[in-house]
Amino acid sequence: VDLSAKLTDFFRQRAVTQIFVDAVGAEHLPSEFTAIREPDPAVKFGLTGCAAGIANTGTVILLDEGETLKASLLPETHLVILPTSHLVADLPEALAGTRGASNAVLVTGPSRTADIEMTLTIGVHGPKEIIVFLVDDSKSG
Amino acid sequence: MEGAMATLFRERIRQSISNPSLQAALDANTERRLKVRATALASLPDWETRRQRAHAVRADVIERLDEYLDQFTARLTENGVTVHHAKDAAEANHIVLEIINHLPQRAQSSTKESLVHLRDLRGEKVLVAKSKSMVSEEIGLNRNLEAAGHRVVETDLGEYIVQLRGERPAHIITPAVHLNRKQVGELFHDKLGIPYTEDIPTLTNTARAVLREVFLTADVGISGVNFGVVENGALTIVTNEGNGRMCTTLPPVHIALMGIERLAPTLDDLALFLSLLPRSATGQKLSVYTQLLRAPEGPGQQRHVILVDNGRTRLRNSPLKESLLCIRCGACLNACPVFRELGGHAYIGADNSIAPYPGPIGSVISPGLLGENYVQLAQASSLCGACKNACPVDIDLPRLLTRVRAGMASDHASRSVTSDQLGKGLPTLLKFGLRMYARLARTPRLFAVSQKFASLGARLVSPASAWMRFPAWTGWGYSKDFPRPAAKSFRKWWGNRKSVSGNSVISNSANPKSEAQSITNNQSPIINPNSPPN
Repeated sequence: VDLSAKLTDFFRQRAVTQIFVDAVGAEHLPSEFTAIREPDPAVKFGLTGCAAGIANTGTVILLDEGETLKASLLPETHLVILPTSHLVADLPEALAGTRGASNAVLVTGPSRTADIEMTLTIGVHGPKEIIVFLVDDSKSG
Repeated sequence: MEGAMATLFRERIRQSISNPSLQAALDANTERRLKVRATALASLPDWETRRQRAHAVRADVIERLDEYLDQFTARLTENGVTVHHAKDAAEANHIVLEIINHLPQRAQSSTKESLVHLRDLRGEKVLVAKSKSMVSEEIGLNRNLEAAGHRVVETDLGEYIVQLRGERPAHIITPAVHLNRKQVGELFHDKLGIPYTEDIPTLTNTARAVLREVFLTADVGISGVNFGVVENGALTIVTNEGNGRMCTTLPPVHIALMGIERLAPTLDDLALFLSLLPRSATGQKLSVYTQLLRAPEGPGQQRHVILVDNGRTRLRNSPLKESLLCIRCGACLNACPVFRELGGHAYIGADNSIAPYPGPIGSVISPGLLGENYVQLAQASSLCGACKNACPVDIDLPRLLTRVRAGMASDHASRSVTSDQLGKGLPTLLKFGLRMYARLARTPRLFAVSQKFASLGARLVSPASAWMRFPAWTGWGYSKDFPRPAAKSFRKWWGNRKSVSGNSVISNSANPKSEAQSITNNQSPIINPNSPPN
């Protein structure tokens, strides 16, 4: 199943038409949906690429390419496209990859807090939901 | 005067202990924190090796701090970040206000590369969105910004709650640890006008909506820094809610406040610290967001770093130097049997102000950074060592606490301490008593005579029991009784033993033996529940 079909299914299911995208997101967004390139409070879904994924912590690493950092932060749901070739083993390897980046963020799960009575609550300021589309690109090299 | 300050501190401690809702909140926090930390550490089999390595790296940073700071500053400048150095709180506050007084025009759209116009904002009210920063607490930043007419909004949920209540954070990691959902529900009803609710997701969503507006309209974002990476100048900020990302990404100006000691030489060192910090703080393998900020977010943004000394250089040249290794995880607070009963708000200075840093590490660095006023905090410890065991960089906190007690945190601390610096934070009477004791104990003959008097006196005070009641005003007497000195002192017994044969040693020990029996027969030897509570 290709990525485009998966994304189409997902957005149709959620009845979404507008998606806040970065460059990678724009490239992969099926044409029936509208790509939004600027922060807009009405847009609840963000689609971005990522620089790497850390296998043992379930982390994705985002760099500030275009609007990646905003499209992954402002909407309530963040979708990430992660090619399997971008997977790294652990944190030291992942951090080494950010050495020259102007800004980077490691994202491990949805926004959360436990500030009231130590009770875990999902979705404070960042996305309440993060969905990773893992794309097997081993054949295409 | 010292007696009076100790009394205020005691009063605050009693209030904490007798506040049932605070006690329930603290118990729940402790239990949960200890549990999640234990689980998280289980996923790190080489924890002990790692903490020793982390200790060594942090010690090296403090040893070669000037060199690392120079390199770090050079990297930041190359990356387009403006670096400021503040020697104390006043300077740090002044720098923040100066930046605010010369803000660029907020870009209409973040994607358009708008020209940066400098606005002179003297006298104009500016909105500041603030992410969690303990340095800002230390320098009293909010108070200063508000005094200058600006509006500051704390955006970490816990910090937002304590700000709405007009309080200070009660814990360095979980600021609202002292409150329950009912109190937060009432607060949001009063201050934000929502219908009263105890539903935590509803409360959280309310804060999300209110603060989102703040992020989108703020002129300035202010954050702390967990680590500055020397090799590439990355500012590492670790958060869970996402407010840190908002404050550093959206406003046209970002100001990062950091203590000069918070450096990691390389990204590998950072990886090591990041394997320890979230596990120790919140029981997570990694926090939700770990930011590595190097450059401004495009041409429309300014990024400033204020490197704050505020007593750190002095601390570095004092016997409390090791406290600079701290990575502010809060594990020692949760581990401390005293903190668990008191909460952060009981840690007050002689002037009745709440210390910016509470708990074991706070009782060292609050006096270490801010001086004499907080020296009494070091008395609020049993020196049990749980803090040292919990510390992810293995700081010898019990040793540092005893050094604070010995007067080594004073402004002109030297390695030699004069006798009137000893016993910092103790009530005057106790200090006097200890000084008398020291004099007696150093003179063998005087000591023997006083033993004899003590034994006689004790039998007059307490003829029937092996325990003596102490009056409450002594500070100890309200909770403890004192064992009656033996009728025959050890010194005397030893003297007799040497002068007679082995057999008579046994017969001589008859008396001490009966003394021991009377101790075991006593129902509640240490804590007498019948003692008056006050």
